[in-house]
Amino acid sequence: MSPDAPPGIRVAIELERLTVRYGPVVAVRDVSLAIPPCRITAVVGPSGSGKSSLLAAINRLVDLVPGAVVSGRVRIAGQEIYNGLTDVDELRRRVAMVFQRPNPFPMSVRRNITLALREHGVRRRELLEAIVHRVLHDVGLWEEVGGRLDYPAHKLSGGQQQRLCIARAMALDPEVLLLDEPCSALDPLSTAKIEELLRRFRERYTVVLVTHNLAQARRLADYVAVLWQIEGEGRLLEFGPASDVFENPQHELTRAYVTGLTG
Amino acid sequence: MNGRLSKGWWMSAGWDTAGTAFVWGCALAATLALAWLIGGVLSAGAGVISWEFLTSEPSDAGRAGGIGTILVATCWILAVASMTSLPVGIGAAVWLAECNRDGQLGRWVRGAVDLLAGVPSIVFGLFGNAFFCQFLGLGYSILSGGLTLAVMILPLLVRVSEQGLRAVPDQYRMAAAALGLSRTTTFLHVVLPQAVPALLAGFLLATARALSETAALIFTSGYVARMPRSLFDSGRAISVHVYDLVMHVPGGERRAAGAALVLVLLLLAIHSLTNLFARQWLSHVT
Amino acid sequence: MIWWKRSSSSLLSVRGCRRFVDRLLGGAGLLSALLGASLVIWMLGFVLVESWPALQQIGPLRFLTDTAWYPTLGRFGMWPMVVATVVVTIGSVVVTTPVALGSAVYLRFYAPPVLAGLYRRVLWVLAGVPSVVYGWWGITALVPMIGRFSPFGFGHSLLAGVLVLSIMTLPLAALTVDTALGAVPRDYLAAAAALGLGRRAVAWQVAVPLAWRGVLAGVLLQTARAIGETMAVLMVCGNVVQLPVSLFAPVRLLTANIALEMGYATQLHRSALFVSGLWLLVLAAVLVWAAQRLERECT
Repeated sequence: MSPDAPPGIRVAIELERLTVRYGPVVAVRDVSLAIPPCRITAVVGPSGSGKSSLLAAINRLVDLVPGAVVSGRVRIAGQEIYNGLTDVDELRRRVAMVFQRPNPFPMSVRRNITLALREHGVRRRELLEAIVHRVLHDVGLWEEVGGRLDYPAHKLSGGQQQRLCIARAMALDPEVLLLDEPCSALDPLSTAKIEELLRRFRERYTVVLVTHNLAQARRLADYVAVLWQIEGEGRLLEFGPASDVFENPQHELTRAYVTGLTG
Repeated sequence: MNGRLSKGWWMSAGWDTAGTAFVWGCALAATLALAWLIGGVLSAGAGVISWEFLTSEPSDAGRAGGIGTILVATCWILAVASMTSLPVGIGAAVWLAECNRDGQLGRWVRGAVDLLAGVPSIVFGLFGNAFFCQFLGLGYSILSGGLTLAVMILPLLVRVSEQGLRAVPDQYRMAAAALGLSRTTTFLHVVLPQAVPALLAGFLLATARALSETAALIFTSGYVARMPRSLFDSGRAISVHVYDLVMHVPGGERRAAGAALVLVLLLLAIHSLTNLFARQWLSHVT
Repeated sequence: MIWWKRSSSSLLSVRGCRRFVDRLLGGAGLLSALLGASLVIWMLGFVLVESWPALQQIGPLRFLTDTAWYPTLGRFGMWPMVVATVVVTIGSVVVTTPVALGSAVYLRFYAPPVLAGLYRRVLWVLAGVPSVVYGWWGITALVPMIGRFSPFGFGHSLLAGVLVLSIMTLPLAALTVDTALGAVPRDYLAAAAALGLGRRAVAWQVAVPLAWRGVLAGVLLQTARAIGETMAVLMVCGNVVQLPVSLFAPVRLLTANIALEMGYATQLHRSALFVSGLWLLVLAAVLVWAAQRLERECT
């Protein structure tokens, strides 16, 4: 059994003593975590606790940061991803990511979705169209932009843009969905729509949601990991089912944090 | 309180007025200088310019005739310069902005290109003469002149293009990487379309720089005012023509003014085109 | 869904091909970057090789000690031209620097937005006017005017060179300082204004000292531009090889000397011209390099 795994739960993503350094700065130290499949796992903690670095380590996006060094192990569906054999592009297809600020490419709604599909080998027109339809329906954008697939994506509203980004990621048929504070740049209405989406997706994807919004974590999460900055390094304080962490935290700092006393 | 905080002489209203007058005077002086310059070229050259002047060959050492062959030679020199420096310049800029942003090698390359930017144009002429004309045996030719200018405008091209590429926000590169797009696809489909106006602006600026150059051309592309038949012929660029008429041809002043006016008008056209692209680029990025 | 499995199964997959293209383009970029960077070394090398005979046979000292410049007769005294170059350069810097500072302060602190936009455009156009046109203007407008006051009766002179160079180098210096002033944090200016300082004090006693790097960069850039300028000074300075004894005396600068004599120079004479080119190259490149360092630091 992997460390800290809640008993009786299968494991989708396994972190073992994961450490992420940027030069001399340690963003995350020795985090061991077993994230269960087809559930929403929220990663919470104050800013600077290494939440985003942890997330970027799971799809190796951290590779793009100059000077970043990752040690420890990350296994997805049992496969180690930090070795020379990993096809990074394929890994990122399987492990999709949505960012804090909506970042659709400055091109049409349709091209936003098909660009990556073509890259991953989907060429047939009908198949491309079918996928575009399916994912836009899934995120509820079809009704809103449906007739105008050639509409420039950056003219959509912020919430629509973020849902387009989710649709773009879903088009690649990923197994894991990483979300880095996806609602922090959005208004409450758009936030509600995205939370609704995530609730529907929980059966289909393994969702890892980084958020600094504890209320959101309470609303959505099945499991919660609490990160904390201790002596300038991000560390895992506590991990478990959401109800346990919120109702009966084991750690003094967690208790203070979830009751709003600190953080 | 009031007594101790008495105003020094430098805080008096008179000095404020003097300071205001000084800065307005500076601006006024520079504007007047430009007006005098442009007005001078315009009034002296406007009467000379005609379709005939733009298309006919110079005769009597330039005292009569037009600048047709000069314009052709200028175009050829510019074409050689931009066609050779563009691929190298854009390639280097792409490498600096996309592949080696903060690396040690990138810093060295940037430093070397900056040094090249500081070389006086007459020294480019010396280098072009020694390298292209003599060492490569190209002689006084359009090719020698164009290649010399290519070396000269390269730093400008690299710097502006790199800035344009860097102005494309990183979030797009991150998003593309998170979708598993290759670097080539990311560059061609996501980064490049946003950087095109900036690259165009850089290209136009470099062309303008090449068009206004004289010193680097005198000893590389030469003085021959006949219609060039090939790239290996000598060709007289328009700026060289102005210089030659003013300095070496008594009675050539009128035609010199005409050629100078054509040169200034061409440059103004290029600059306004650049401004157009630059504005579009800025509005695109922000 | 199975489409993605198919695409990664064969060796010659789409992805493998892409990765090859990635490498290819990266390699091409690296190659052009190295080519671009090597040019300056290449250039230094060529100028050095060409000037080697003169450096060896004449020796660096004789360029300064020979009493006259008769290169075809074996006398290589460049001293008067070096002095003329230095004097004209310093003269133009002295004239331009205050005006450039005043222009930049005007742009940032005094000008109404519309006029600031217009004046920036004026500076851009001035910066874009080719040196040969400045030369033409110098000969047709400035030189005759100076000639009226000149004790020698003609206007081709050191003074004409200084004035033309001043106008030519003004826009570059002014725009550099303008950029540096724009990079001064708003907070400082607001704090200064909150202390009751007037516009003049905020501009000259807070903003300009804070932007000293940009000011210095502007001065260095304009110095380099003045040293390297050829055509305009060639056309207005009169080109007599002599020490500048008066503002109205005709002088010949190093750059103009190269432009005048390269056409017919051979052997040692040609090599001697390359030596002067080598000095100009090193001096100007170092100045511009330092200026760009400063500029990068302040923005």
